[in-house]
Amino acid sequence: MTKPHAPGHDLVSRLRFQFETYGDARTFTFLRESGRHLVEEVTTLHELDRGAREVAAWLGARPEASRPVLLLFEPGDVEFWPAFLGCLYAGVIAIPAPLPYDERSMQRVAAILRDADSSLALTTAKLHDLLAAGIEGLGLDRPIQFVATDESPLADADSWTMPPITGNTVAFLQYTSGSTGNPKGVLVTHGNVLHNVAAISEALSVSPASVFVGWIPHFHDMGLIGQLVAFLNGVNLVAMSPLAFLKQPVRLLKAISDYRGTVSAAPNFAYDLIARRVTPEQLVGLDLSTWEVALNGAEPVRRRTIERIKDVLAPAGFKPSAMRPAYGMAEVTLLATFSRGVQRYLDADADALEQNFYAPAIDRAVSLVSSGEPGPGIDVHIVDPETLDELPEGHVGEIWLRSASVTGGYYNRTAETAERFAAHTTVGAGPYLRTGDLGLLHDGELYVTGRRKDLLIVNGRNLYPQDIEEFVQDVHPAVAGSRGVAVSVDINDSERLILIQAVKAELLGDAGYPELAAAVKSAVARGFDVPAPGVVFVNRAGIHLTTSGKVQRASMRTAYLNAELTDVVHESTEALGASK
Amino acid sequence: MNANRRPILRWLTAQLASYLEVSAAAIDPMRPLAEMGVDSVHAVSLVGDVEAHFDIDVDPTMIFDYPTLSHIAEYIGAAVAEQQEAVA
Repeated sequence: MTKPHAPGHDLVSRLRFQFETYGDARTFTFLRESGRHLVEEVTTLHELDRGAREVAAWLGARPEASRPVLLLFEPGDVEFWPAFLGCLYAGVIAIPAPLPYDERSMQRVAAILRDADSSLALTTAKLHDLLAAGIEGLGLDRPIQFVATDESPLADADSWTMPPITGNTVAFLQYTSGSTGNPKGVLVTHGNVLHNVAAISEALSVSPASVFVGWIPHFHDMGLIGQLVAFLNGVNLVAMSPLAFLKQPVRLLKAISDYRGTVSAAPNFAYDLIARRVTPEQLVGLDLSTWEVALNGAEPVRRRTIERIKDVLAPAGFKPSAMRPAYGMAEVTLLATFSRGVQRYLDADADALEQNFYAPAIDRAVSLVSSGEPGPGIDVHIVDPETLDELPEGHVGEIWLRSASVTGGYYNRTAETAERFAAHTTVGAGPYLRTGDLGLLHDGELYVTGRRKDLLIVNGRNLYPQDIEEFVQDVHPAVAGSRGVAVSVDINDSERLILIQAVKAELLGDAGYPELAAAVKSAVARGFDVPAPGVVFVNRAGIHLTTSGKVQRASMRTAYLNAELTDVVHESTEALGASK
Repeated sequence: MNANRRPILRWLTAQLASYLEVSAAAIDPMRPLAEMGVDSVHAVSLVGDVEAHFDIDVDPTMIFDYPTLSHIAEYIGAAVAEQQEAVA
């Protein structure tokens, strides 16, 4: 633990210390969409603290609050914060969850309520009736009571008293992983948050003069912890909804320019979106020279995106050193490694990488992006996931973490928690968090190379599906720029590579599907020195994507094995390469 | 049918083609967007660009209420006409 700036090892004392120091001097500015414009709504930290005490005083007298309390608010809405902070102040476990918008997302909320055994949900007056009606008839054993926290005060703020809270008190459950029907809640303690916030603040040089600008919603760990970093450093915060950003990505840049923003965080796809949709005309008059940290995390960081964003934003004074890839996950509160402003890449030899070690590229190269160095108080180890031997620098293995930022496991899941959070190496070192991600350390920096479960092992060599997927793009114009997945399946006791690839029929030219399949097979076979893969061509709609546009390999693999692929236009998966 | 519908449809087709990185000829205005692999980020991008280009307010649920580009073009044509009448 780094030295505390303020008394107390719990989040509440630290937050209140900052709120008392900066209560009227620092603000949370929410840029609310009103028609086609953004309208500024300013709340002081003092007002947030008062609202939190009102909610906390009320929660203190509610027996249902002995179990986790669900929070359902509009993404970006400032009303979330008095409710969330109120839970913290009351020592009540909060669950910040995404607002449901259809049957499927409502089912996920129901599954979370079941998993956490909750019976109380906080929301706004506007959403109250809609949510209460929606949750009815979902077959929950325990009735759920919805309460609006944004109307008249629920209790007198001055009647709140600090309950006994320590660093080990659970602050909130982060339901980020697991399928719709089987969500897993990461158990984050007050001590976890303080440790990770201290690491982030130090690694990114956050000071009270920083200005945070963002759009990541509070139910995403990057949004939630990001805003807590702001509060715990007493900085000004400017936020907009994800919808406001996605409609007009230039709005984020304009807010950074207008408010002299210094820190903004987003997943890689958002930087890609900015690079593709922001025009040179829109950049005229914007000044991005104050932007010190453009954190890039929560999904694989692409070299092409980093290079594109630097070029596109250079005319507005964007500093190349601002782009900061980072690596982390909810299981370690948020972040484990950070780039410190000098971006490194490795051109790794593809053959060596398949043998699980790094060597400078001789022939076929794979470009790896550094996710930076471990944060203060965070140990990163690379471990062979089969033998559990710790591996030296330059070797690819599973990323294992040890830190006070590593969370308390999954709520009410003892076996999965023990397996994931209490791993030991062959020599008995531990406990470590097993991330399930693969990577290597080189000169003290972490390079993430893939996810363990997506790994393809063909003829004893490890192949990374994303490498094959990228490679296929260059085979023919009809597949360039289209999504595809490379998965491995077991056929007759051996692993077989299957490519499921979207095709633009209009760009086939003189070739037919059988010719295109043949070209892809021979190119992949030659390029990766593997037996010709099976090939399935589909229309664009046949590729399963997440809501953020990532390909879902596991889901596609299952669909293939169950013969449930849709939009198939051609299949050529006979082991001998005959088309059917 | 609104007389402005054709240029609106041409503009919509060009926008969607740029998001999907395909040629405009590959976009079928009668085909539901979901079937063409339009994800939520593309859908919201389209709403934002429609608002800025036509200077009208668009509800993000437009994509659900008007499932094809042809439907969306009708909707935009009507909204623009309504706005011009309000100004006149």
